[in-house]
Amino acid sequence: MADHRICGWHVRSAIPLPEAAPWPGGGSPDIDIRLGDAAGSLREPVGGRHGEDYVDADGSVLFTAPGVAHYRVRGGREVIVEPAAGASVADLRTYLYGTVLGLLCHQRGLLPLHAGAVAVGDRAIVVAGDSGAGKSSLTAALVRQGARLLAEDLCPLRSIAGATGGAGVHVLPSVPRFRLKQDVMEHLSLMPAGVGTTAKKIAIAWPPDLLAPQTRPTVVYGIARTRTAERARVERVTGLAALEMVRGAIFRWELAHAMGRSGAALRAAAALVTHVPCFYLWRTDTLSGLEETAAMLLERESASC
Amino acid sequence: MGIVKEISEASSLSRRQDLLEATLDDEVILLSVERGYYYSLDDIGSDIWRRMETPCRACDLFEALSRDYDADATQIAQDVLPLLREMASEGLIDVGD
Repeated sequence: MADHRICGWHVRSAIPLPEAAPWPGGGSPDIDIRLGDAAGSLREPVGGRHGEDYVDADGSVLFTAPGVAHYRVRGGREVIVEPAAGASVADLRTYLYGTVLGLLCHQRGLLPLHAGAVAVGDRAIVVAGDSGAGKSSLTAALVRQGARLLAEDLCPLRSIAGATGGAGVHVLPSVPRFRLKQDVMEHLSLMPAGVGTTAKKIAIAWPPDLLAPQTRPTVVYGIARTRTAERARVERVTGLAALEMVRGAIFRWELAHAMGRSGAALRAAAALVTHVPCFYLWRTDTLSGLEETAAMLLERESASC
Repeated sequence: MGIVKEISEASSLSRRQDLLEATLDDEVILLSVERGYYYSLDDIGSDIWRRMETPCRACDLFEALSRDYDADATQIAQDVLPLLREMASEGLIDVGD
């Protein structure tokens, strides 16, 4: 067992999490990750079955990563992992850093977005989009041009109770790693310090002390696989269109709905788009255009200060 | 959305529970996850929605609006009934006896 700091939480894990920062001190953990019988004590899933996933009456979730593990996520505090025969520790971690972390966010009242985020001074740029839309590559390019990493795939946002206006939302520092395709990694000269594999991407650890602290978001860009152009450009989006752009990026939305968490998530998304300007981002489809796009976003951020 | 029961002064009105609600730019936004539709209520619609946090009778709603907007209750009923019918037709509210 080892103690880590992820999203500001004290996480105690029986599964090695070498990328995560160590927890600087003692005390009881906020979240406990252990090995065990994930389906044990699962009551009749009144929340329903969603593919291979179950939602229990108390809002806990049992989901299955085929060939990897069953994961039970309960009360925002407990994670039980039941590995499949032959599952690699790296693959166990991939789902811990992804779906499990997203479900913990929902259960703990945070808004988890499929988004990368970087800090430029005390301002955060959020790049939201589905898997394959290019947010990890763009986030890595922003970091290579001097921004500080906050999140690469799962971006947790927290509303500060009682705060008003834009001061009320913060992006929390997430998992210090990138998962990139080989060609992007080589193009950005990112050297892998640790390797975990999925079918298409390579995981690269990022020094946790280089993560930015929690930061106020000042812009949200929405990218999509189909939203490409010869030269990168942005288009302001407001109102319901902005809300739907962010809602579409909410991590595991259907499961959040089955857990009874979608209302809170929608209200958090509405609060975000009310106070933070949103834009569609047309990205280029080329590696060379990646740095131009990152430079454009950083220049826009400087100009808006 | 199908045939909607006619709304009278005595009708009870209640919010449908299968909608998600948020506020955007001071207006009420409703989302039907099952249907995938957003509904944006204007100032009056948002006010009426908020007043239906607990089920109420149409006549009580008209009376409260008449009082708060300093307007004739009959006129209020004439103005608001079409909106209520539309909300019922779109599955945002339920209408009972």
